Amino acid sequence: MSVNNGMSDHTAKSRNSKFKQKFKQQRLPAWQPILTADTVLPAFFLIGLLFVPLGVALLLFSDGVVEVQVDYTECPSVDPRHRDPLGGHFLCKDLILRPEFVPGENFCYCDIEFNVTTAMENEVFMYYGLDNYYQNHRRYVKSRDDKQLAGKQVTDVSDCSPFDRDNRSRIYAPCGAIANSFFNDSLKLYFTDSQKGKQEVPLRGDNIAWDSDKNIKFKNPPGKTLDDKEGGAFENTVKPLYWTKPVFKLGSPPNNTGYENEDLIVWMRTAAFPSFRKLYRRVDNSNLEFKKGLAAGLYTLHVDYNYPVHTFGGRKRMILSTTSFLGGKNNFLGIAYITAGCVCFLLGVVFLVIHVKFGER
Amino acid sequence: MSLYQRLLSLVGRSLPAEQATRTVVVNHTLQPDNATNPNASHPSNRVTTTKYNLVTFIPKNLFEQFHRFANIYFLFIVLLNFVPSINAFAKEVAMLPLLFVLSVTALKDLFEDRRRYNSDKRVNNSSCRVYCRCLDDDNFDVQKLNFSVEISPPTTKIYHFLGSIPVAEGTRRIALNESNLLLRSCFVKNTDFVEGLVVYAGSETKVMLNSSSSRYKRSRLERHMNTSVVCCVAILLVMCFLSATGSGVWQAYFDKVSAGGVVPFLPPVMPSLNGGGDALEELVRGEVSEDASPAVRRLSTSPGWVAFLSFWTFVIIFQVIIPIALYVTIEIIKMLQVYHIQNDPCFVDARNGSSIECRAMNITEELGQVQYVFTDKTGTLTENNMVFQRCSINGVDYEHQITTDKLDTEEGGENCGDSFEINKQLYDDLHRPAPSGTSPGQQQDPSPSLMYHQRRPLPDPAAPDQQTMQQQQQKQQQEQQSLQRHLHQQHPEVHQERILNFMLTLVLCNTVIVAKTPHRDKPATSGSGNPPTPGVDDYHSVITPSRLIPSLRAFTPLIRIPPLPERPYLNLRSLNPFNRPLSPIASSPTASPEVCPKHHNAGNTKSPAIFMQHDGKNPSLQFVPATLLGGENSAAHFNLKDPTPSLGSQSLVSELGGPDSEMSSCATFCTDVPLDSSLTPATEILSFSSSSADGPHVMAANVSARHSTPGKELQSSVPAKSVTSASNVFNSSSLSVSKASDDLSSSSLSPSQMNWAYKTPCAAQSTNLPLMHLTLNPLSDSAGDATSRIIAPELAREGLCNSAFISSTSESSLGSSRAPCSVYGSAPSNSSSEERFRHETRLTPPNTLKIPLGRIYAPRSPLKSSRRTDNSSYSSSSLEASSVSGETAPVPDKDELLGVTKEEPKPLYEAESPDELALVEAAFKYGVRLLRRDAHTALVDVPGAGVLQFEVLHVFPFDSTRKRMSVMVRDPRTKSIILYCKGADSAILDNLDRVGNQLDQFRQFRTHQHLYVYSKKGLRTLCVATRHVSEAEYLWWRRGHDEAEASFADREFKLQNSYKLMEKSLTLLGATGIEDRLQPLVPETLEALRAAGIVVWLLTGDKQETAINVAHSAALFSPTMQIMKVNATTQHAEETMRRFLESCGMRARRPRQAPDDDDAGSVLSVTATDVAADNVHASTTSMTDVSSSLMAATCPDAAPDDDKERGLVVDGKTLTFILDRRTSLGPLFLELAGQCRSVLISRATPLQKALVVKLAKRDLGVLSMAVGDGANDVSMIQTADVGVGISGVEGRQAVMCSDFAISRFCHLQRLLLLHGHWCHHRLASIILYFFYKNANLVLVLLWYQFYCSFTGNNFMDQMYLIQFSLTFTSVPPVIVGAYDKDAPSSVLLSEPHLYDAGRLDQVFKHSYFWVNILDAAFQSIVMFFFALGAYYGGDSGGDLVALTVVHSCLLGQLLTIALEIKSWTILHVASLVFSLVIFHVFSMAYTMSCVACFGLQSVYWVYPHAMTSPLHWCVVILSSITAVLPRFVYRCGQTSLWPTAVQTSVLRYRRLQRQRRLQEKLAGQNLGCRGSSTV
Repeated sequence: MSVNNGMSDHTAKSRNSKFKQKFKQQRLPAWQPILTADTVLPAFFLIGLLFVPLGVALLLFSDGVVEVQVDYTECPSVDPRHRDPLGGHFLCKDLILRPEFVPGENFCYCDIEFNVTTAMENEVFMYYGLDNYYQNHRRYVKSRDDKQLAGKQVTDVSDCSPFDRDNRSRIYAPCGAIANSFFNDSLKLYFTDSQKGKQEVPLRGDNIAWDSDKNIKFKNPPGKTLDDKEGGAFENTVKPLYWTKPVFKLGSPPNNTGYENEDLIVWMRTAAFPSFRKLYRRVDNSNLEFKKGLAAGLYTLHVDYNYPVHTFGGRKRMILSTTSFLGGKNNFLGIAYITAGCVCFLLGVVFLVIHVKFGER
Repeated sequence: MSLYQRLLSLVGRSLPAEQATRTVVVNHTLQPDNATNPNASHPSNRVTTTKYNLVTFIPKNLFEQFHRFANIYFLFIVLLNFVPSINAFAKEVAMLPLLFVLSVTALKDLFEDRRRYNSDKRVNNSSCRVYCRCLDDDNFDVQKLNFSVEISPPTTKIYHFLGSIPVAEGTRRIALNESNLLLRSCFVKNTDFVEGLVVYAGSETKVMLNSSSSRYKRSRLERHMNTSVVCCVAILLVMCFLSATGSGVWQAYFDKVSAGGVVPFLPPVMPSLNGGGDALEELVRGEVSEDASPAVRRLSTSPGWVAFLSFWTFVIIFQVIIPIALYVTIEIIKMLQVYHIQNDPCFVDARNGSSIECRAMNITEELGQVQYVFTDKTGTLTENNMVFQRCSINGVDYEHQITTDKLDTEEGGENCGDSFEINKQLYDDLHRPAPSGTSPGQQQDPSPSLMYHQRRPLPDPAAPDQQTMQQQQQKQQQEQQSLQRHLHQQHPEVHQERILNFMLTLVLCNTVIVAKTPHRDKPATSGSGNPPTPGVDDYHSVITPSRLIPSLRAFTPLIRIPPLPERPYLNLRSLNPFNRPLSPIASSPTASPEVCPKHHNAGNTKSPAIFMQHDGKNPSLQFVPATLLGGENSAAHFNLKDPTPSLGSQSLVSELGGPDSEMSSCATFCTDVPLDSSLTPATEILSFSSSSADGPHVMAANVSARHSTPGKELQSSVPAKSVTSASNVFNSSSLSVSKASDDLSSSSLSPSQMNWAYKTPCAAQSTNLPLMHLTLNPLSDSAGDATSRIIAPELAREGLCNSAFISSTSESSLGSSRAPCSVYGSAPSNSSSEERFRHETRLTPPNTLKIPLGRIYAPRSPLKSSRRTDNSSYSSSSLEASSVSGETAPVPDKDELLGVTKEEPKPLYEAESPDELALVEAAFKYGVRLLRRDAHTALVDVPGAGVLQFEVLHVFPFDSTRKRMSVMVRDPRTKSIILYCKGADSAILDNLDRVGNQLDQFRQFRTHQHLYVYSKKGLRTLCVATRHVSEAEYLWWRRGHDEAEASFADREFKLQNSYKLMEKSLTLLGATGIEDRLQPLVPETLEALRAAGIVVWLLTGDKQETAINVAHSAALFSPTMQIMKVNATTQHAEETMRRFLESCGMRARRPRQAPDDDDAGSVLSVTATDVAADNVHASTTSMTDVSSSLMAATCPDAAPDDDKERGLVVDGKTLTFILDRRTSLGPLFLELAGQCRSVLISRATPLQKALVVKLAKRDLGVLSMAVGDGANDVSMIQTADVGVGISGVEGRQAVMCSDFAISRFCHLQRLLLLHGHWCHHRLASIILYFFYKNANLVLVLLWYQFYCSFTGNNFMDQMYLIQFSLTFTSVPPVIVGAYDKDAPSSVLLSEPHLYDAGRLDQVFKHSYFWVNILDAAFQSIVMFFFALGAYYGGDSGGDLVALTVVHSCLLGQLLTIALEIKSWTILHVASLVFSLVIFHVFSMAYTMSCVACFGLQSVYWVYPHAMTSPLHWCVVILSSITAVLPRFVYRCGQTSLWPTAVQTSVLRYRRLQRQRRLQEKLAGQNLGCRGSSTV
């Protein structure tokens, strides 16, 4: 055995030195593919053969997703106070620009009825979608402090400027433009059953953020209590400018409040493009009524309208969607795959012709 | 250290630095480190090449680094980032790339500086082996050694040094020039010790001054690249401008729409001020109105301002498109390329194991683009291994058979002498027994073969017209044979004498050094790596004076460097130059004449000493020892050669005075020192020294090739003192000479002595012409011949006493008013005493001139005397003659001759040029043997005359303008002065004595013919001529020459004139033809280079015919080639030449009839011959008179075959006109040359070579390569874009200044066609890839701006942005750039035309840059918009989308480079895998550990989310594959439809390989079938 080892050691060594020699002299064994028509033919056909079915599969997946979108940007207020002289209703988007508007006070709300034609099975998610909303604006996207959100004691929040401190030098909690512009419409969904009448669809606000975010990235600061009292977690902080209530009054204690509020977490994950959706709630499957998702039928979206977007041409949507293997509904990839596959297939044919015609040159 | 301080200290008078000269005073009395020491102003010898020390490293390095534009750019970006409203990146992170680049460069610099430090340490701490004992001697009074040297301030010019030593209170100066300067790092050959003083030390040495300039060449590819970089800058600016505009527009829009409302994602630009909160409150409450507070108004920003700010933001974001990393990458790639070139085993020269040396690191790719190769001939194309093949003496041609055929294999140049067979006829002609006693005319009948010597039909394979030529020649021969026969029959002795003189020229007129044993010189191992300071590193193994005395202050005087320990021990006695000359003692009263010579071996008198021989007959001489030496008969000699107290002289003297005391009395002290009594001792020393050599020797470096070892000197010095007291006065050292002179001057000189001194001077004026007649030149046909013949035997018979000579002299020197006065008998001492006197003529008033005329006559030509006896007994008879006559010329006992006897193996000759070696060895074979040689004497064994000691009066060194070398000697036989001259035919033939008889003219004519024949055969020709110089003329000339030598200004010019004065009216002796073999594979290499489309110009100093012939045999000219010759002989040829060039140029462009060019009377000889046609060479006979060979300046009638390849031949003289800016012929010439495949320029000087290269480089705009091996190629090599040095026989100058050094010319093929091609291809494709790569990433960022409101947001996390080019995609380009092969070596080497790819710049075209940018754009569009399509409107965060895009970018770029890889090795695969792995590992580590780091937005856990998302993978796969699709399609289609030459060849190669494999397989199967069937 030992002899064997020595032998192998020796051969390994000599092989190593041989390799070194070959390396030095640039004589390593080489494979020199030449991309001629005949050699690449299989590649093109192979790509075509792989891509087209994949594209078809993706399209099928996308088709399988049921998605309902309700744009409520211009919903009229249903509050009788907001009846306009002509008998109609003022639009919430205008109402919230009024000086008397106080966000979060249920100042303006609207109900939008919509039909779900296809039953949404299994898990159903509710998103809010914003359009023409540049969450990737350079100054906006930087205006946050991840240390603060991770529950660390921060004194320097200059990244959040100008939403870092109020005029009494108290740090906004959370600071920055992103947090400041936290989406503050509240959405509720009602299902109008032919038998039971209008009933609220149970929605859950938990497990809508990444676990990693919820557990590590976003943490409430240490403190005896979750408030801004002395010794509290948010001592010496102030609520963001646009907010109606401090952060520790968000959501439901104990796990979904403060920085750990999942709505906040979701909001803080800035979108890539000016049109995006963010997960808002998921339909509570534990409820027997909605165990299998949402049945087809009439639904009503109740919006507590606070968030101004139309001033800059933005839109607000509510989206109900099931998910697939790939996430939401998106035909793009499937079409792209099919197109690419077809192109490859075509190219394969072209090269076949080239090969037949010029191959023997 | 203290030793040096004590002994070698010196004091330089401090001078203002601006002064034109600086003075060095040698003074040992001051401590060198004394504060008052003015020498402190001069640098010490400690060499410091390091740039930094511990303290200065960081600031200095940073300072230097920020001189680079790239770093300034980086810094600018970083600083931009600190502007709050601009900042695109987190400040800390944005600094990372800059810090990275800076630290990498700093590390590199640190490493290099460390290397420099180590090499400095080696240099500075090298053990000092200065041998200082001489200075310790009791008799040496350091205090008295006090003189100064004035030298020019240090310059970088290596071959420039001027200085002088003021003597005699500054009234006279001894001039110093570059030949007196031993440069630092010089390799001293054949030198046992060096005496000198340091004039420049440390950083002021020329090598240090020169090494500072680092050679940085910018390659053509790099220039292309820089253009592309400029394009990138333009793209960057356009992108920034567009984005900034977009930003402004967007801002304007949102300003408008948000005027009355709030844009939540549009945080105000205003920093958080005290009032900020209030302002925001107002804003939030929608109180923004016309009368809003100023604070609020400040919040809204004007679109223009926003656009301006975001422009700079975009500069930061898009900076990546400027491929800064490219420069670093390319440096690494080139380093690897160089490493592998150097490791190519094919470059190893089997002879000495030397391999290629890449001295320039940054121009490897230039090797692949060479368009013009300018090559030297000798030593580059040829072996530089000269074989003596033919000679023409006195009009008679002697051919030699070459015996050794294996010259080009393993033998070095040393044996070239053995490689030809002795021509019997020549031998016989030379060794014909001398006529005894009778007139030479009645000699035995010459054998008929003398005339019909081995003349064979001249085989001239290269010339198709040899038939014609031979016929012509034979015809001529027949015509002239009668004349010839007449010549030889009538004057066989004259012929013999001429042969002898011819041989003597070969032997004497050279720079050959005779060594008993070969010097074991350490080969200079050159740094093969990347020496930052090449000059310093490369010389480490060379013993340098300054290395030996490292820590001296500047100007350390009087050092002696002993021989290297491995040097062979040489018997001092056998080499003592002072022993042999003492033969005149034979007639001294006390010593027995028989004993004397026996004990005194002949030595070669490197250091001339003055000997006073008295023969008892001269009262004045008798008197000298009596007075000076206290009546003792003792040897009194001193070494005038050594100005410095030197062991050598001491021991040499003691050698005489010691064991050989019998003869100690024989030489008496003869000196004119009393005359110089006014001189201080120091100046006296100097005056001695300056008189000793042809040039003053006391200076910076006095190199004497003295063959003795110090050890022996030491030993012998001990007995020296014990023997004679008198010698003590003189023999201690040469310093003692000055003491002695002091003594002498102080002592009461007897009147008689003074009398002697003053009586003796003879008139040395030009009236002494009659002396000439007594030189008894047997060769001359003049009347003097008769006289000599009469006198000679007579003298010999009568014992040749001096008085007789004197009388005969007075008899013959009719015009001389004063009789010759004194007899200074010994020939060897002649030089010294003569020199001494010569010197005195300068020092003393004219009336004290003492010319020892007697000496001239004293030794009767031994040749003459021996003629009376048989050849066999000539040695004994010469012994007898010399002992009787008191002459020294023939050495009495040949066996005592330092052991050099005829039986012994021939001495080892070492010479600067192999030609000289070949000639000396050839002469040796014929019995004319150079036995010893030094600056003043040459010991030659002459057949029929024994060993003669020639006194070398002057050597006119070879230079490229004179093209000849001369040596002026005093023939010991006749005491006449003879000038032997050897040089290029043009240099000699123009200076021949035109008046001659018919026979002489005939001889000249014959020699011309032979020269032509030789050169047609490709032999190197040299002409040999001689001239007799009368004593008077010599003296007259001498005065002017001395003046010229001593002059400070214009010395070079004056010397040249002085040489020219002597080198005229020469008598042609003959010519030599030396064969220089082509190196192996040279024709193949040149063929390959030409096939590769490279234009090869051959620039040689050789004769045109020789060069043409070599060009043919080297395949530079192909047989089908049309050769055009342009030879102009006068300056008026301009017009004609212009017409010729124009016509030829036009003709070459379009076929046309020959223009009517009858250059009326123009001396331009423009010959155009077509070798293929049979019209070569009508001017064969007319070659004798070049100017008469007027041929019509017409172009060859090549109209029909216009596509024919052309070759152009131009000679140096014509080139002078062409290169003359006033003629403006340059462009015409280049136009013509541009249409020729090969150009040959003969007789080109080094400067012309460089000018031609420059011209071609500048005006043709071609990439030039110069190949050379010698110092004369240095300027050419330096001028060319790529300089290649061939490390051959001729030293390492060419190698030192080259970019690549190879050992054989044939390696050029592999270097260019293979490595050059590879390197260029690799780099070109990598540079293109880099542009693609950076543009790809930046364009992705650009597209993103359309979706982030042009605010300059980073799409990707900054860490990714930085890491992407820094780590993710950095390795594959390096690997591909260093290891990819677009074609296998066998294909590239066998198909040279593939070189076109690089030569014609087909790999890197500027359009390719744009194609790559387009491809990058397409890919970026695919990568970005596919991701956009997949994620738009979705709920994925920006970081996840960005990671997806990064991922697909990475895959796309890797796939792209994979497409560019032509040859996959494990390294390629590994690099790609590495890239992927590093991406994933980094992402994992970064996103999984970093919650909030670097002030960046957290991307925590994004990577795992992405990797587990099918959508991510779908996007990545689709976009990366789609992205490379166009390139893939293009590559495939191009390869299939329009394959490049390289691809075609590779395909063919592959097909052949497949076929072969298939055949083998089939054969195997058949075999198998058969096998099975039989079973």
